[in-house]
Amino acid sequence: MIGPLKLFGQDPAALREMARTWWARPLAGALMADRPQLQELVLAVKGIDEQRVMGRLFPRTRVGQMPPSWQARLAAASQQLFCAPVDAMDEDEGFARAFAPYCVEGAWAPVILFERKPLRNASPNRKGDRRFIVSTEWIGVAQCKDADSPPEKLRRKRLLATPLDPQVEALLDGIEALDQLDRLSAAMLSLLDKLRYSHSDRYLREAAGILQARLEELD
Amino acid sequence: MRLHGGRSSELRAHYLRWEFAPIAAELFRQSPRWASVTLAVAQYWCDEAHDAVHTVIIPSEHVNPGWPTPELRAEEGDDEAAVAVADDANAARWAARQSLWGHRVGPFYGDNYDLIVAFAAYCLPGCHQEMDYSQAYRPYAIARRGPDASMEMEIVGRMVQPEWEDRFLKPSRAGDRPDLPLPTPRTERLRAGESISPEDLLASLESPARLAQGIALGWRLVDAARRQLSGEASADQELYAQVERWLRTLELSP
Repeated sequence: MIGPLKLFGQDPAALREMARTWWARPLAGALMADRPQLQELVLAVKGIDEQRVMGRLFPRTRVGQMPPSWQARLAAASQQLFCAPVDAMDEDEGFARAFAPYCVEGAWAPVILFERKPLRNASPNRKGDRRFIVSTEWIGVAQCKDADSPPEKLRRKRLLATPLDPQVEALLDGIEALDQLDRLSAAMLSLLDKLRYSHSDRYLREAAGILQARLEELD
Repeated sequence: MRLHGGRSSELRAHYLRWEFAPIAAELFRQSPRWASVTLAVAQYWCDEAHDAVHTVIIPSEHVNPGWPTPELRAEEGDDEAAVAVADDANAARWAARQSLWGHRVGPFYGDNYDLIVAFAAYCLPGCHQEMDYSQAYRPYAIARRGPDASMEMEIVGRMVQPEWEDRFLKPSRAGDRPDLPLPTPRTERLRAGESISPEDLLASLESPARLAQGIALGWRLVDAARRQLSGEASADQELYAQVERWLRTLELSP
């Protein structure tokens, strides 16, 4: 057994990023490679219940339509790429946390657009090289904040309901400060490196922005 | 593309399930000759990164290939036929990557970052690039062809450097990457039923004070960056030294 497909990430944004780069984009690439006329695909999501969300790829002009031929194509691509059925993510808590904020009652909600872009420097001599790359664009409209989505609320409730040893509870402030130190020190380490070793303005600005955001969280 | 996860074990699970398993499956699909595929890992100290963990994926005709695999042993012995087999295997691996992610060379630049956190604990210490693969690398997992196009996976790696487990800020070039994954918060792990280490418990006694110092220094660092960006001021070495001292109290080396 090789275990179920599962997203990893500490927050819904990280989970969405993983779903995009490791799951949906390779799947879109395989479907496009299989059908040269396919130019655009959309990942759309739909809530199953409070704890589960399903996501499927559709041609851009046919979001929500799942004729048997397309279903079979999706299933084959998923099996070939990930050794898993196309609905493997439906049961994953991470997938629900990632996309529940984008779900619309009773309808498929488009979240990511995938476009075939020609690859100019593809090597024509290497057998099987793809002549295109798959670009991605977020098109989802969040219906609520990540923290307010049902799976996120359920998860928080579950974690907070876990009883802690009273002695540990007393130390929780210090342990929480230790967690905050991890985040702060990582951002400081990064900015110090940029300041010291004259990175470009862009990287300096980015690292300063991340540190400032962490400091504002702490304030 | 980077690995996701808040523990070393999660990064490994990510790598195994989302990269190694699909490549192994693709290798099995491409050629019936492969009975197993081994994932091996090595940590190097002498290449461009000063610290990096690399992975290698080696198909074998043997169900229990051992280490080094017979194919690797023959290749390192300059057996021409084995070198040809290794070339075929490499070509198959690149083709697998191509069909998975659209790039022949993996779009994973995590060898100097994420892979260190994920696998360094399972690597031999002190390896260098003058060593053969069979000496530097250690097998971590073996995928075997199962019935009906299924696959079995066995973890064979043993932890040899436990001090590297969950050291998210340890990679020597951590400063390069502000988006490096961070560990799952200890508070969350406690609530999920995990215990906390004695070291963390001790550190938690001092953490509020250290955090207060860090916040003050952090704002000064942001201000220094702003002034440097606008050309108002140049490098403030004294501040950098202070920040470095503070980072060292957390056992972090800039």
